[in-house]
Amino acid sequence: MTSTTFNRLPRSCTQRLVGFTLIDCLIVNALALVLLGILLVTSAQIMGTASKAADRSEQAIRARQVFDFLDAWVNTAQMPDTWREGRRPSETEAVHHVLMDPCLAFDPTTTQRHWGGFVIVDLATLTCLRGVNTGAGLYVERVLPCPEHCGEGPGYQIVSTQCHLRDALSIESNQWQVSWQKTMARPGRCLDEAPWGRVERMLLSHRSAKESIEGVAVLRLQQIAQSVDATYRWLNPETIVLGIDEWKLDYADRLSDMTREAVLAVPHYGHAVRVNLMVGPPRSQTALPAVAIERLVISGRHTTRG
Amino acid sequence: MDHNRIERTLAVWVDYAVAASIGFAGLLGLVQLTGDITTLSIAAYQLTLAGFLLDELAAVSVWEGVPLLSAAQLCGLLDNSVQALNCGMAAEWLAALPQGSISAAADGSLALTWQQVDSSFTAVTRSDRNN
Repeated sequence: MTSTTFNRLPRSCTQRLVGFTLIDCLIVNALALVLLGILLVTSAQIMGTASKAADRSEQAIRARQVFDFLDAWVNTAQMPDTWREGRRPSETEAVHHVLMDPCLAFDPTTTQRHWGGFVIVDLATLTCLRGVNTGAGLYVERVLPCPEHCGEGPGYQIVSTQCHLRDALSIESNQWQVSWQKTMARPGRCLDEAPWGRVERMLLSHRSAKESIEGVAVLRLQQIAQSVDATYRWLNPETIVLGIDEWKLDYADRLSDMTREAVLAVPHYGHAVRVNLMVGPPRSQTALPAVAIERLVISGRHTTRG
Repeated sequence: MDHNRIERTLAVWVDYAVAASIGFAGLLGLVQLTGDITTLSIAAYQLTLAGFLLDELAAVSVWEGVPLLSAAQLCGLLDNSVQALNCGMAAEWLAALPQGSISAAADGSLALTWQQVDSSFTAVTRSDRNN
């Protein structure tokens, strides 16, 4: 190599020319490439494992979200404990659950001892929601005590009949009325100690990926509102959890119910529901199968026997 | 080979060694970070499963009107117990937790124990008072 050529080369190359021969450079490059290849393969494997673990965790967390929603709603789908003073609803009061219908407006003249509950509904048969969805839906009526948990907006207000009658009825004989109100402020001409609250009506439904605008299967929530012409209508559904491929609802039987055939003839009142979910994989490169989750969802927390 | 050439060669090798060490340390750090993320994801998954399992037992306990320990027994999750109830996927969740087991804690509550990725054991307890 002539000195003229040597001077034209960049400083880094001149150093290399001084330190290494061409063979040295080739060997180093080959070794570097082999190491880089090993590194890339190993990194891809590690990233793949991490990605799979993260996706599986996300599937479980999405299922958790669904059940957290359900537990929160279903736990409040009954008269608050402080209003019932620890008294459990009787079987006759529980008939209310059977009569629950998302398409019926609440009659403000109706008085009942028990409000709130949840039932499984066949969405295809609901005239007020025709064409919106098919399959099973969960219709929930929650009772939220005011002013702590009910907010201020318009909605169904539940008040004790004591509130208006101003007599000394005991809590045992207490009846409750529900009517639509513009605010959830304390009802007028009502005794100071008389409780009141909000009744929320909501419907949880499932939409498959084919029918969904988002292109993924979703769980959706609908709530009821009053129109300008004073009629009630269900609002447009809002998505609460994405990627729920399937969902199935069944009423649960108690062990005592299963062992007594006569009890099976009694119609179910929605007090416990078995929920089956198939949580699809997140949108990523990992091809994970859907995860099946089944849980018992119950309303109320009562003292256990024994 | 003259003295200067050896010195220059050595200097270049040292440069290479330093660069390779920095790169290697960085890659080790990345691998460590990825490992930590994986461990965290697995721990989150296991905790979620444990939560599902305890929630299911709590629901069965309330629904059947029995204490949590009896619910675990009726679900066939305790040693030498036979499943008498439909407890959904409780048995599958327990099996999915490495060395997962359910036992009665000293205070009478239910203890769910399983082995984590780092080989340590984690225990979550739940009592009838929490139901």
